[in-house]
Order: sequence, then structure tokens, then C-alpha cells
Amino acid sequence: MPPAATIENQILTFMLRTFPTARKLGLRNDTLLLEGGIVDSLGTLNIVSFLERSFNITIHDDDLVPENFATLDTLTAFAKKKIECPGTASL
Amino acid sequence: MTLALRQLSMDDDREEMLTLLRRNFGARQDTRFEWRHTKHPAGRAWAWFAYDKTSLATVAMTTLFPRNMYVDGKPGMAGQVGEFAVNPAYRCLGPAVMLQRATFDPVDRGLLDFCYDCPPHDQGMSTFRRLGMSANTEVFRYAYVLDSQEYFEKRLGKKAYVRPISTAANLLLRIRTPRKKSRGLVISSFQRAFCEEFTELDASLASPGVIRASRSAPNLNWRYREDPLASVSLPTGSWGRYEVLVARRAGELVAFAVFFLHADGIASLVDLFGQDLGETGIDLLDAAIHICRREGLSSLHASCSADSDLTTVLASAGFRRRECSSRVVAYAGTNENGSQLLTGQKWEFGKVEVML
Repeated sequence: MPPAATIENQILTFMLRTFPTARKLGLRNDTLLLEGGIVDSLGTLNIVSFLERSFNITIHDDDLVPENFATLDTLTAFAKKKIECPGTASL
Repeated sequence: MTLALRQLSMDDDREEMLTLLRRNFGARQDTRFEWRHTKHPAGRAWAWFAYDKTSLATVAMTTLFPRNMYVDGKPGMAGQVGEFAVNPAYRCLGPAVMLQRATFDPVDRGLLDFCYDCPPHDQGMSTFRRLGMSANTEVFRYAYVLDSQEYFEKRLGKKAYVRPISTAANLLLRIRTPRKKSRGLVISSFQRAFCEEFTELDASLASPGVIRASRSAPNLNWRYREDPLASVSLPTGSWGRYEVLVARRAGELVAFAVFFLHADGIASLVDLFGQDLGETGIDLLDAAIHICRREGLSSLHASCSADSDLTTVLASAGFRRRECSSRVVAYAGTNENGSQLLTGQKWEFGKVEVML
């Protein structure tokens, strides 16, 4: 498993590269991605593709809940959990 | 968090639905609610809420409106997805995927032949991409410019010299290759309730290999005569009105056009249907353009799917193709019959199939 800091950095780099609002507003670990209008459903789809591709994990429909995509912190925690236990779904 | 679905009752859940509809789609929801959800000739709509099982808060909703269609020359029943709304804090695909799957349920239970959604933008396609589905066709907007003043004002500003430029341009816009009217075709305004002759025309044009909406009299009356907002003046200004033109040959109905005159100075062609549209359609469009000019409107818009025969008719009448205004994504079930139903069919979709 890649070190936690690497996972977080990779996600952060992706977010800043992909979402113009994230670049404009700045992205802290607790910035609200969905409620803040940085990420919408299409953005979520992009994040899912990125996570699946980068970390060789499978994200199920049950994983697509706000707790996992709410902030950079929750996103990183979710990715780490999926890397550690690939078969785990959120619900 | 655990999300769950609840199928709604159009009677018991009306107020809760209206609250969400007003929040997501504007204040004018009450006037059309009964008409849209319970009065369609094909039956009552289905609707679902996605809610948080812990807080019981509703986080998303959607509605499936029944529609009479023709598929491959045979009458069928479809559902059109609409009123799809997700609370911004829940736009993480899960609730949307859950609701989209719910709209497939009446198809899987054999109550509908297929259902379709018409996302207007790419964001709306994300759920379908997640489900591994792609658009069956795309619908494009077409425009016929009647008055160029607004066009020049946008580019040059509201300067004094804009009016003479646009007046000259308007004269050029009126110059078109003279075209002989179709022999024996009489075009007139139609203001009564739609009757059996429309149902007969609709049935007579049930072509194999085509997917389109039914134009039976009950469907036309529901859409154009019973819409509570059409022709109603609102405190914020008039909503607009439908105009119906019919083309007859030796007294027999052969085609008709419906367009909506908006209060804000534009018109939309809602429907153009009938025999030999290469001739009758262009004559009907000429008549519609004449009315729009007389009303002082700035443009007439139309919608048409990429593979529709209407694309040629619109181009011949002087309409110009603009942007893709919606995609049509359909689901016909996973069994063999379902997956075969829509295969190889041509989508004859215009505004009437896309609008709710």
C-alpha cells in the first residue's frame, strides 16, 4: 500500500488539476467538496475513475455516499480503506 | 449513512413533492401538478424520494411520466424521466444512481415498454455513464432568426447605428428563394379541441423502424388544450400560448404544426407532424414564420434528433442547426425482448418528445 501522505498528495493533485473551483477557492483538508459546489455528480464520476485507476480498487454503488466524498480528508480515508480492504463497501 | 427509496403517492405525498419541486424547479409548480402527474391520458406518474434513513431527510427525487409512443410501427407505453433533483450535499452519484434504477423498475415489471431520460447537459449523463449506458440519440436546437437587432446589440452594444444595420439585415433575412406552395394544400389556424381525425392521421403514419410520440387526440388535447399554464396570464407576465396550424388537402387533414409563442419574444416549434413533410412541413413552417413575424418575435426555435427526417425539413425551411440541447438515453429492460426493442430504430424526436 502506498504511504498515506502519497495517497493524499495524489488525490490533492488530481483535485486541483481537475476542478477549477478547487484551484480558485483553494482546497483545505476539510473544504466541503459537494456542499461547496466544487464537485458534482460528473465530478464524482471523474474522482471514481481516478481512484479506481490509480489505486487499482473497485468502487461499488454503495460507496457513492456523501461521507466518502465530503472532503479531501474523507476521500483520502475512503481510498485508504478500499486499498486495505478492497472488498469492503460502505453500507 | 444509509439511503433508502420510497415510492410516492400522488395524493398523500403531494405537498412534500410540491415543496421539493418548488425548491428545485421554481415557484410555478402547483398550477401544473395535477395536469402533469395525474391527468395524462397514459395514466398517473410514478415518483420516488431517496431519503436518509437516519435523519429521514429527503435528499433526492425523480418522477417517471407515462407516455404513449409508437415503436417500430406499433403503439407502446414509455416513461419519461423528469423532475430529477438531488440536494447539492448528496451529488456524489449514489442517490442519483439509486433513483435512476428506480425509474427502470416499471420497465422491468412489464408495465412499460421502455423509459427514457433527456439530460440537457453532460452532468446529467454522469449517472448513465456509471450505469454503463450511453445516449441513444442527441437532440439539437435549430433557430430561424426573424429579427437581427438582438444579435447585433449583443455584439456591438446598444448603439444608435445598430438599428439601421439590423433593419438592413432583416430585409436580407426575408429574401428567400421563392418556393411554389404545394398544390391543393390549405393551411389554417386550428383552435378547437383535437378530434378523431388527428388520431387517424397518427395511426396512419405508424412507420416501422421509428420511435416517436403518439399524436392521438387525447394526447394532443392534454398537451395543448389542457395545460393550465398555456394562455394563462401570470403576475410576472404572460406565459405564452400555443398556436396550431393544420394542413388539409381536399378537406382531409394531412399535417399539422404546433408552436408556442413565448411572452419574451421568441417562439418554439413544439411539433411538426404529418404526411409528406418535405412539402407540407415546409408550407406549415412558412405559415408559422409569417405569424411569428406578424407578432414581432425575434426568432423561432425548433428541436430535432440527429437521425430524424425533420432535420432536412428544417434545413429546407431556412433553420440553422445550433447546439445539442439534450441527449436521449433509453432503457428497455435486460431480457432479450427488451434489449431488441430499440435496436435499429430511428429516433424521430422533437420538442414534444423531450418536453415534460
